[in-house]
Amino acid sequence: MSVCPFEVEIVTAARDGSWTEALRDHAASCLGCAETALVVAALTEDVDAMALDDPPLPDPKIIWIRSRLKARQERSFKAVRVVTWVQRLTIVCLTAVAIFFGPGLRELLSGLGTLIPTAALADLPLLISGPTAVLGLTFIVMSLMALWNERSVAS
Amino acid sequence: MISMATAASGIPITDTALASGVMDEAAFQVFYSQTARRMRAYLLRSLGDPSLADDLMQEAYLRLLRSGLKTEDEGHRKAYLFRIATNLVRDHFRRRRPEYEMPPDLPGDPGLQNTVDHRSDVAVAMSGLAPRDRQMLWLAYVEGSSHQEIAKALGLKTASLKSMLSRARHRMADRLRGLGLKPIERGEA
Repeated sequence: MSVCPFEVEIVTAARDGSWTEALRDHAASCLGCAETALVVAALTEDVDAMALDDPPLPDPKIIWIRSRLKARQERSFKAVRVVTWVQRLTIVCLTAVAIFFGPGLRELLSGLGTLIPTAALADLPLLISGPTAVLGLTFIVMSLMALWNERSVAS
Repeated sequence: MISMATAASGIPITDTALASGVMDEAAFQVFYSQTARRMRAYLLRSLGDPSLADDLMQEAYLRLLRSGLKTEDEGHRKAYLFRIATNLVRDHFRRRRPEYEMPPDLPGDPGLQNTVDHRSDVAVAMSGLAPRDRQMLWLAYVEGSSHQEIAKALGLKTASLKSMLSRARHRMADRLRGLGLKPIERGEA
C-alpha cells in the first residue's frame, strides 16, 4: 500500500497548526490526508484536554519500592531453590548408598564387631550401633528438611 | 560513588547507574515524571477505564524496572515501556474475551459502558474502535512511533501495518465525522 508523500507534513501541520496553502490544497483534494488531518488534530486536542484535567499520578516511590521487594523475593527464591536441589541430590545419593552398599557395610561393621568385646557392644543403644538405622535416620532428617524448604518457598 | 547529576526529587543519580544504563531510583523518578502522563493517556484511551489505566500503568513501570533494560537512550526506554503497556492491554482484553479484535464497549453492553471514560468526543469515537485500532492510532499519531515500533509493540508485520493503520484511521475519521467534527480544524483557527 502506497503512502501519500505529504503524510508526514500533514501530520506535523495537524499537530501544531503549521498549515501552508499548498498543504491545505492538498488535504482538500486527498481523501487519505484529509482523514489523517482530522484524526491527528482530534487526538492532539484530546491529549491537550486530558493534560488540563489530569488527576495526580501514582507515587513513583511506591512503584520503585514494589520493584525492589519483588527483586528481593526473587533472589531469595533462587537461593532457596539451589539449597532445595542440593538437598534432593543428597537424598538421592544417600538412598543409592543405602541400597547398593547397605548389605556390604552391615557385613563389614558386623565383622568389626567381632574385634570389639561383645560386652562393650551390648552396652551401646541399638539405634547407634546399627549403621542401617543411622542411614535411615539421616534420610528421614534430610527429607523433612527438604519438605520444610518446599513449604517455606511455597508460602 | 555519587555523581553531580541530581534528579528533580533531590535524590542523587549514581555514577554506577549512569554507566550501566540501568535506572536507579532518581533516574526512574525523572523518567516517570517525563512519561507517566502520556502513558496514562495512552492506557486510558486504549482501555476506557481510568482506574484500570492507573493499575496497568503501574504494572508497566514495574515490569520495565524488573526487565533490567540496559540503555541510556530515553527514546528506546520509552518505546520499550509502551511496548510493555501495549502487551498488558492486549493480555487484559484476551483474558476478558477471546475475540480481541472486537470492540470491547459496543453500544448495548451496559456493563462496559459504565466503566468507559466518555468525557470527550474523541473518547466516544475511540471507544467504538477495536482495542488494536485505538493503540495503533495513538502510537502513530500521538506518540509519533515509527511503523516498525508499532508493529513490534502490537506483534504485527511492518508490511501489513500500513494498510491496517490506514483502515483504522478511516474508521476513526468516520466516527469523528459522525460526531460533527470537520477536518483541519486545528490549523484554521
